[in-house]
Amino acid sequence: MIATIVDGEKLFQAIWTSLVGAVGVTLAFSLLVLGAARSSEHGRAGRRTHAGVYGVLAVVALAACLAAVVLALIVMTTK
Amino acid sequence: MGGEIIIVIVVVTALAFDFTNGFHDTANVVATSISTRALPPRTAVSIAAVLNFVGAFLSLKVAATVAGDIVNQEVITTTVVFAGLVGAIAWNLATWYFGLPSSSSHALIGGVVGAAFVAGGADAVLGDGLLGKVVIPALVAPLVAFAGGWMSILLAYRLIGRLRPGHVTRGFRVGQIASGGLLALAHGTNDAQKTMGVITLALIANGNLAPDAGPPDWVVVTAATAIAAGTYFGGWRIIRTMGSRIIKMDVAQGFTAQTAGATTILAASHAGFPLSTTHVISGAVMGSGAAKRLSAVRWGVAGNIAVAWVLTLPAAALVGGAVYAFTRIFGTGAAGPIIVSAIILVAGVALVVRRIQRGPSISAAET
Repeated sequence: MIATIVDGEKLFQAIWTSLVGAVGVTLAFSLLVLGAARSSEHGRAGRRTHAGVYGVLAVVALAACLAAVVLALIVMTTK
Repeated sequence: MGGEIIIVIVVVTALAFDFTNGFHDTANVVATSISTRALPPRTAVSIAAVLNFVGAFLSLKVAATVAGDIVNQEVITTTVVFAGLVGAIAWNLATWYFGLPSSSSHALIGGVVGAAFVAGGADAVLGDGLLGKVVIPALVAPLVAFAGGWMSILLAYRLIGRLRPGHVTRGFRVGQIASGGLLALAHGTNDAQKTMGVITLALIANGNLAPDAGPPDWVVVTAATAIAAGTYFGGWRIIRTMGSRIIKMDVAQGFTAQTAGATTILAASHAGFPLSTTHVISGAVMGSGAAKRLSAVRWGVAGNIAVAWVLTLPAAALVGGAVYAFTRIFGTGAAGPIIVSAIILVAGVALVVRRIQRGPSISAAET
């Protein structure tokens, strides 16, 4: 009876996209904070290679975060 | 003439509900940002008000399904809509008085269902729609947000746990501004739509609009303005409950709670499940807190919130039904809605004055 009242496939899709979205954005933002912090620390200590690697990590993570924001705006305007 | 007076009363009442919706739900958007000191209270509320206003224009698909899929359209009259709105406003003010976050959407649905039930009997309520569109999403959404907040904060602590606190605090405070902004936008697109839908429904029922008409521009602008104004004036008591009485949050918890809340709202809305932003954010806040340790969540406060959630639909339905029955004592003209509006206005002002005299202000929300 419940199956006829609720679209189970859509409900399941909403659940997994919510969880993947939350974890994915948190992963990207945490990597951004981690990359920026470590890059700054290694830079001050003169370890340029390490600073560069963490800097690249921060930039990639920032791009992922911005992509998530753009995706959220698209979802809002097309629902 | 009577029909025109009633429609004016309904529109004013709908905008009053929209104001209480923004006022009541400000906490959903800003509480975590304020409690972690990512933003000063007044700045957080101002940004939320602007983004709620913008959000109301982002998507203009009328949320007539709020009433259309839940009650039989044939029983919808301006008086039913009016009684439903009064039920929703009464519940919103009561829960604000006690500082409890509850769903404005469910209050609106409950009020309309109660009024429709009294107007047209049991057949007026579409049980399948009520269960599928309201009850089941209401049970699932907070659990999903809880799980999202819980998993996200565990992951975040794993990655940033060994960093200096200063880096983490600065980084996640910036992140909270972005995640809070998305929440405010999502709230504007969801909740302002419901008021637009109800006003449009009343205009159709009164013959001012064709049955398949969308909301006129003035409805969109006034609904957006009312929810933004309500958000700006903010329900500080509920902000305090959401921001610090459920759990004391750090900035990473604030960020993950807002992110889990925003993704749940967006994913569910995109899949076509109308849900309560209040339930989602509360669930995400509890999930972020429980991940640190279960005892971090004040389960007594969480229990009070859960009781308010359970009571929202029946309590608003009871008031909506009672208001409809009372209104009909004075016939089908404008006399009933005018008398009820006067009573509500006096009672509402008395409640607000009493609360302001006794209740905490911004300073309490900051602590």
